[in-house]
Amino acid sequence: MKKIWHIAAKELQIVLRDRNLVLIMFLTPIVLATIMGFAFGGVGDSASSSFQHMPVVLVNLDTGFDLQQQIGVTETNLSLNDLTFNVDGAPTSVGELLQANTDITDTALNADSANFNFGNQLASILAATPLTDSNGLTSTTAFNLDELTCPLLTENGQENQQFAFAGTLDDLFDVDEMASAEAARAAVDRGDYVAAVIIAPGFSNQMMPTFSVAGDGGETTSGPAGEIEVYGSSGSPISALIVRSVVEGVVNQFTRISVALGATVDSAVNILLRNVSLANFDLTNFNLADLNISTQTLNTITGTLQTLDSSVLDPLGCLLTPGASNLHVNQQPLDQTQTLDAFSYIMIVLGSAQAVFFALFTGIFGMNSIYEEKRQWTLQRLIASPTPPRYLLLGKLIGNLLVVAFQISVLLLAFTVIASLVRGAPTFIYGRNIPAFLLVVFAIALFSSGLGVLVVGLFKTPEQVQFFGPMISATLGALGGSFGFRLPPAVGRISPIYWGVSALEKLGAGESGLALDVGVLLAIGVVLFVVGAILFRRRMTI
Amino acid sequence: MPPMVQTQKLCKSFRRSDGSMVDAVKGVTFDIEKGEIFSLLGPNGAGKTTLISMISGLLAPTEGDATIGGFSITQQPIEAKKLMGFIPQEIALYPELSARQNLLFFGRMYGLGGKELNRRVDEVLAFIDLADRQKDRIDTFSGGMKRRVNIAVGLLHRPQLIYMDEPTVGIDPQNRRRILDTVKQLRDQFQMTVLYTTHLMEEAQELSDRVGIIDHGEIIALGEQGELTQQVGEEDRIEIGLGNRAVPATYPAELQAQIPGVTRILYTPAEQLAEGSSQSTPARLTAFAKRGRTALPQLIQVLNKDGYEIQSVEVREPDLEAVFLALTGRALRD
Ligand SMILES: Nc1ncnc2c1ncn2[C@@H]1O[C@H](COP(=O)(O)OP(=O)(O)O)[C@@H](O)[C@H]1O
Ligand SMILES: [Mg+2]
Repeated sequence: MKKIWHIAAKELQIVLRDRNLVLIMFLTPIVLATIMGFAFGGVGDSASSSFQHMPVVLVNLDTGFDLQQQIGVTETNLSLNDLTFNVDGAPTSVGELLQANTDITDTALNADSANFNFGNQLASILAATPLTDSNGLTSTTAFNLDELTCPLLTENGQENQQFAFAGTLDDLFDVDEMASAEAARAAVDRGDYVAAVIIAPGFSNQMMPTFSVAGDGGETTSGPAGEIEVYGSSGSPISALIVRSVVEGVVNQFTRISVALGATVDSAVNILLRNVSLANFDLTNFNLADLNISTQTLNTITGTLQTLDSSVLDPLGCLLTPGASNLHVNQQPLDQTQTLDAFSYIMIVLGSAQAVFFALFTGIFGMNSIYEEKRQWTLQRLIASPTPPRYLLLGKLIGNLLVVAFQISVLLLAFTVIASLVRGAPTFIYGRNIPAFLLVVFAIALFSSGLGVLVVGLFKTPEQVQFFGPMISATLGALGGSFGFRLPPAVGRISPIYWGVSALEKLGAGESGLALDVGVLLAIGVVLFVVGAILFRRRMTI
Repeated sequence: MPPMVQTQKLCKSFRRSDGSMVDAVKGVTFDIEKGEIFSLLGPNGAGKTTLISMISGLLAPTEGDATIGGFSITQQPIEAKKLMGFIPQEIALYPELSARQNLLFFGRMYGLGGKELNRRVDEVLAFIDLADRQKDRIDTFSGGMKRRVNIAVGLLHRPQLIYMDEPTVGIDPQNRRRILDTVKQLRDQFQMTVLYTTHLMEEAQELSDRVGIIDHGEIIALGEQGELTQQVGEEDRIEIGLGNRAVPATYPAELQAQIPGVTRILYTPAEQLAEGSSQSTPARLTAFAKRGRTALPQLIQVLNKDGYEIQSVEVREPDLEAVFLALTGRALRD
């Protein structure tokens, strides 16, 4: 077993002593990325301001979401206002709660409709425009609901940071609004904006979780599709990328909150309806005052409702409080984006792309060296030694994996050093989370190396590999965004380079959603490795 | 004592790229005794490398088997391989690594490690007289030095049996001398068994306890040198180099009839040294005679009369070259 390791270590040793290989594997990508970094990012006084006040156009088509309609009691006189909750000791109707906060509701909130509009929320966050509510309060105070508290906030003791976020995005983006998606895309195409954020009509509808209402027999209706499109300018790929990541971040928070909110509304409504049906009420013409309900039944209903703790509405409180920890999670990357200079930011993107791209080459040409070993008879010497053939195979495969992983690590470290030198202070552009860093490097290496094993196993001669290998790498590179332009994610995702670069960018931004990227790379990598190894076995004989 | 190596009807057929088959080795059976130097002598393409590759477990035989120290190379390859040291025809070393790094790596592949490995490496480096260059990369070495390291790798684990496939190809006379001396040293000092292949009659003659002559994938003669030369009798051999003038096919027989004492005359036409090369070996007549020195003046006289230009003349005692010529009608060429 030790022999496997000896063979793998020998592979790395040879690479490090081969001056040409060192030039190609390490120096070329470092120099390339650095030159491109200077060319795109520029260095100097203006650099740090390059990524401030990026012009962004916003199209908010969101039609909102009618809570009352969704819970299926619209035909009745039962209004949301009839649901009262004991909030901090005082009975408060949902309508009242919502009315106090126009920022989450449609402008004309009346007692009978509660129209949530997540699109408006997102728009105001991006534009950092204070929403003025019916009481004339501006954003910071408007968000600050006295009645509702967010337990996440209190637990973390971060109440004072509630509004930290209000100013940050303001500096980052200059947001204009437009009414038409077409016009916004055209404006981006003209170069007026770095990106258009287009919120589809069904956004709120999609954000709201579906809930089923017992007794009513109905599932919620599904509304129009609710995607958000970030239409980036190909002329400013980095800026578009920043916009995309901010929007993704905010929407992620919305999703988390809406799940919690859904559960709350679901249980509240269900409790009400269960009690109503217990008393055999006809919902069609339901009017609390007109009905001849025994005091006992009424007490049961109100009693049940009253026992609802105000905490069931806490998720709602968190939604309405922008500084709450949910949104706060997203705070770090936004801050970082700002403090990084343009050069560093470009190095994150270019460096990732170069590292992954060159790793593919090493993966393929490293495996192709089996022909060289055959030609110079070192392979024959290994076969003549008392070493089982499967150890020879594993040694070669693991050796290649080791070389590729080493190359990626060195490149990323070099980019970190260069960014730090340019900025004049230590700048961990790929973050400081060493285990996450190593995991990402391993995933990329597994994929790149696996591709090499498959390619060399598949093509019959070294010449074919030399011809097709670069074509395959270049195609994957172009699809995955290694050449400075980005294809739409739907296309890019075909290329594992997309996942590698995405994982590295997330490392740099300190984001946590790496699992998908790493998972995709590992899964493809394992498949390539196994299938490749079966094919590659025949290359290990003479 | 059981033989070190036994081969049983080893066969190897290759499929050419055009689909036709080549029988590179055709049913070879022989034994190599412990402690002897056994040479396989044969021209290029005779099947020496193919045969040795099957015995060392590099190539699977199409048919037949070989045992090394009693272990079948096809059934118990790991045990068999432990007993053998492999010195291929090519310089099978990593050019980027130093001599010492190469030795350390291959030593580990033979299961050596730690202090013992380092001691053995020092030992073989001293043996091949390259201790002072051990830290230099192989690609900075001369051809002869590379050959010596190539040999050293095969000796690291002190194998009972060592194969050498044409270890003197392409090196200068001084280094060749060293290698031949090394081979004898392996047998005399370390009691190793050596399987040595060559296409050079002189090497086989100098080194071998026993010789197998191989041609077209078959062993055509096998035994001690004396036994083999006796097969062709006590005749001397007269080599006459001619110019480029072609000799009619019937001429050797006519010539033989004119000179008493000459038992046979063979003609070897001129041959280009390499494709496209202007140089060529001259055409030769080889005459066998009981008393070469008496037949020689008459031969020269007749050739002169018939208008052939004589470029060189040589009279040889019976040797392995003569055996090959006698058996195949062709010369072993350099
Ligand atoms: N891999 C191969 N494929 C096809 N033919 C081969 C192969 N290896 C050797 N041969 C053929 O087998 C014959 C013997 O070759 P080889 O063993 O290398 O001879 P030698 O070592 O005596 O010069 C030659 O005719 C050669 O062309
Ligand atoms: Mg050969």
